[in-house]
Amino acid sequence: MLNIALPKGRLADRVLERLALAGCGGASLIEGSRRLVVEDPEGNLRYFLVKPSDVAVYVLHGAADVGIVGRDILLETKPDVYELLDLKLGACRMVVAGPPGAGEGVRTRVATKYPNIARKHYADSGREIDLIALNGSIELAPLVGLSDVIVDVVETGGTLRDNGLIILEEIIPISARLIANIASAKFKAEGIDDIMKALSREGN
Amino acid sequence: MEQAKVERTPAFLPLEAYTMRLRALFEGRGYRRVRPPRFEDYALLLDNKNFLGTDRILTFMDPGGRMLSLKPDTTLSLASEVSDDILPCAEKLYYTDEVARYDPENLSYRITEQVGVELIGREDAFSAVEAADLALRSLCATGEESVLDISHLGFVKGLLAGADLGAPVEREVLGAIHSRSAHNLCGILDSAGVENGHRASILELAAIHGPFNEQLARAGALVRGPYMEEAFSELEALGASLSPGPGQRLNLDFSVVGDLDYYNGLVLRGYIKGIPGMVLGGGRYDNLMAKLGKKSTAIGFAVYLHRLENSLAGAPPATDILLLYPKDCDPAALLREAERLGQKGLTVRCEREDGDFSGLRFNETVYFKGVKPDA
Repeated sequence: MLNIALPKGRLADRVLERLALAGCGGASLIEGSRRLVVEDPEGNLRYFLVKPSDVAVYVLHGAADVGIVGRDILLETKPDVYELLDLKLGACRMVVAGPPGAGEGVRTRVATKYPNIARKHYADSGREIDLIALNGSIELAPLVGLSDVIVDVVETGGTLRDNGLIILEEIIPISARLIANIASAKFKAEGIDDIMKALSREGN
Repeated sequence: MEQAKVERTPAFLPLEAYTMRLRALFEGRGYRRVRPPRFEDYALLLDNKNFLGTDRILTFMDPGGRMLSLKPDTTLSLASEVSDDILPCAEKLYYTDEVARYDPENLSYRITEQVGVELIGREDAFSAVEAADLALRSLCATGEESVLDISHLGFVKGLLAGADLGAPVEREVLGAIHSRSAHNLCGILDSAGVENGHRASILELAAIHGPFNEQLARAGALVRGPYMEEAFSELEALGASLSPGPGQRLNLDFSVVGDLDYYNGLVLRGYIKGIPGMVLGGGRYDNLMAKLGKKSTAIGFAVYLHRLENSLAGAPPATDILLLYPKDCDPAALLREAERLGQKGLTVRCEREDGDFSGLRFNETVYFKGVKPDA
């Protein structure tokens, strides 16, 4: 039995679609279901939906053998897992954003829910910052004077534009990744390889 | 006639029994048990925090004003005690030890037990073979399905040196190899403008993980120069010498990387089916020895018993006799009765008869009726 942790939301739908196209059993059962755990009829795969930021935790601790998680979470938390595949789904960008001209002072105030990514980005270019860690609605921070800029994930940039913010710097592209528990990869290699092949079929 | 006293062998819990098997294994190969100090000099640990993998160390000041720590690792302590001179004869040591490590998930320190071996002072093909063989047998002794992954940092370093990546890119490349991210690795090599020949070799190195002797041929095709030849020769000796036990697999896996500042050759990682993390880790750490000013080489590994706890825990054995006594029982007579039953080889637990025994595990209940005589 291979345990697969999927992130709740649109990304799970797209991953399940790809798995179903590849003939992976049970992928259609989870749609619209209120069950937290769904097994395929053949008994080979078990899916469960979790908060996106928790997928890596489930995989790291072996509760899930594999999982789908955004590269932003991996870069921020650096779990000791295998990152086997770039699914090329959920494409977006990690950026520095703010009002035009922001962040050009000696010491920039940066609001973010990715403190490790933000710290590394500015340290790599030798710039000192004051970091403000937030959990959500990051775009609000520069609008009310909490910060000069934000470091956040951006998809279309629509929310930024609607609030008079622009992308000041691009940090790194982000997309969904297939991760695996290192020990699981030793004992369930065949099953994990099958999932890799199934998820590779579209988009790569 | 007095009944012969029965010598009872303690019923070890599975984890205890496993530790005893390891001790027998190591002593059977001539390894001497050592008892590492409980406390270690804080300065030594801080100076080598990269080897330890943490700078969160429990410290305190002793009455003499010296900063000491509950050590998070045993190897560093043993290595620091080795003579600075070349040893006339190899030291073969094993230990069972408790270490204090910071648990970032629980935001607290945890005391965990480990059993390990250190082979100090001999650098030859056999020392690597012996260490890897002991690691294989240590995993086999659990009685569970297991995998031992072997890598060689000399081989990896030799290949990367040829590409002349520079330290920052080399670190990124090693990170991508460790996480088996072929896609990230391609991106790093493209960004660094690595030439096609070296690019192909690095990608091939990253793809080598699987049954040892099958993957060895792929590794052989990558050998360039004397440094890699020497490393490959050591891997060949391992492939020719090691025999995995029943339910065991031996892998060559270059995604196993250690800190290059400390490890320089063989690296070992052991896994048990059903346990999410590594249960055995080690390798050749000549670089650490050199950093400590020692002329000796060293290789070793540890088995992390706390990772095996749930898998080998088992339930404590049931008591043979629950001996129930009344409130006004004669204590001396009760003690004699418990001793009499014990001499038959039975385990006996004495409890007052009005207690709640629902939480106890026992095989038989006996009522003791001896009443204390009036004064």
